Amino acid sequence: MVTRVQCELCPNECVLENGQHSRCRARMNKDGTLYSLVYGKPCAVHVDPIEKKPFFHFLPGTTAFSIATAGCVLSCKFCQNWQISQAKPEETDNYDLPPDKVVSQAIAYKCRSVTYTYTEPTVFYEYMYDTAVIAKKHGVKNTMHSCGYIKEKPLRKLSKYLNAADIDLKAFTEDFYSKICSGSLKPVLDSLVVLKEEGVWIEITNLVIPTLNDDMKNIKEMCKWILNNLGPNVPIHFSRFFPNYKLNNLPPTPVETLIEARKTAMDVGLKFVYIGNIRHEGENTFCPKCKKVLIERIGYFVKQNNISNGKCRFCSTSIPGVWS
Amino acid sequence: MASADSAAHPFQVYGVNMMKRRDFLRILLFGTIFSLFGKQVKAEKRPDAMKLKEAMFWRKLDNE
Repeated sequence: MVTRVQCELCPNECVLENGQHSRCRARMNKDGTLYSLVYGKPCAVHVDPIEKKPFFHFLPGTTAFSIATAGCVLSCKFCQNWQISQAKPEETDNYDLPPDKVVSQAIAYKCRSVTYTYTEPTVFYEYMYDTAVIAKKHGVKNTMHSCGYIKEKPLRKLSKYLNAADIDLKAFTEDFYSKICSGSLKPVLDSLVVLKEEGVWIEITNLVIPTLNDDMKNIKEMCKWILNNLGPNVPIHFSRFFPNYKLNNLPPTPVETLIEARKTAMDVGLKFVYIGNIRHEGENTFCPKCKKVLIERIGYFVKQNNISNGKCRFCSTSIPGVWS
Repeated sequence: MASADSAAHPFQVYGVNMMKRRDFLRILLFGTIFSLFGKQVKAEKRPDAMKLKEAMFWRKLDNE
């Protein structure tokens, strides 16, 4: 008797014959049961500044115990971590780090949070979920950097233990998601709304790629959607693209494009708009009321922090985020 | 500053600049210092077979 199974974790909804692997490479149908191949087997383990994720409104100046396993639900042509995201678990050099050890290591390294990142945490959902449950019990916060390509039910279950999520909103057209990422836009937008409903702190990252998603009309539409569906307080990070993986034919994003994207977002009404992968004042957090610098950053490092008890030190305006 | 169609500095339109020796030495110096203070995560590497854990969200489709 041979039983086919269907994975119900992400919108790819892989249907797998016996012995077949999922598209994300991290799951397998073995005799009619779907197994995760990456549980407790991260291929990347690092202590990073939380600003690297990037989270700018979540415990600034702290470190995050960051883990990832092999695999991804998408196959973006510009992936920065394609060596592990587009690899099978047996092709990567893996650690043996069960959930309880992740948390004990995070505490040992004085990390305020565990971050599920680098590849796509959805592919190691079971590992992430079990770790998040233990972390919460020990007072360690949970964050993830994800493409948001996950179905509603698992996302809601995870959200009970998730403190913050940085979602890659890679573009605002189905065409881009289809041609460049082999995915679709709508499930990502749905995930953002679910995270908002569940009370998870959200930040959004948009990698601006010359000629592919740098049209200001689309960026404006994206910002309007964010404003209308998530509110004006959701930070958005416009990151500079550098040639990578299958997009080596394109130049780095002109700095002027990032500055224009930032201005477009602020004109729409978003209050916290950042630009990343370059040194620019757009890395800093400004008070939306008195306009003074609240958090001055140099790359991943916080030079000064003028937020006290979640408020601007100069004019006492409440600044949205998770500060303690 | 060269204009976009200038032949003298054709790549400036993309904001690409050559790294100066001073920048290189600065990165080398800071890189060395940071690597000395860097934290190495203790975790056991084991090249054995993958552990299997039953997935959480899936369903059987048919019985043949």
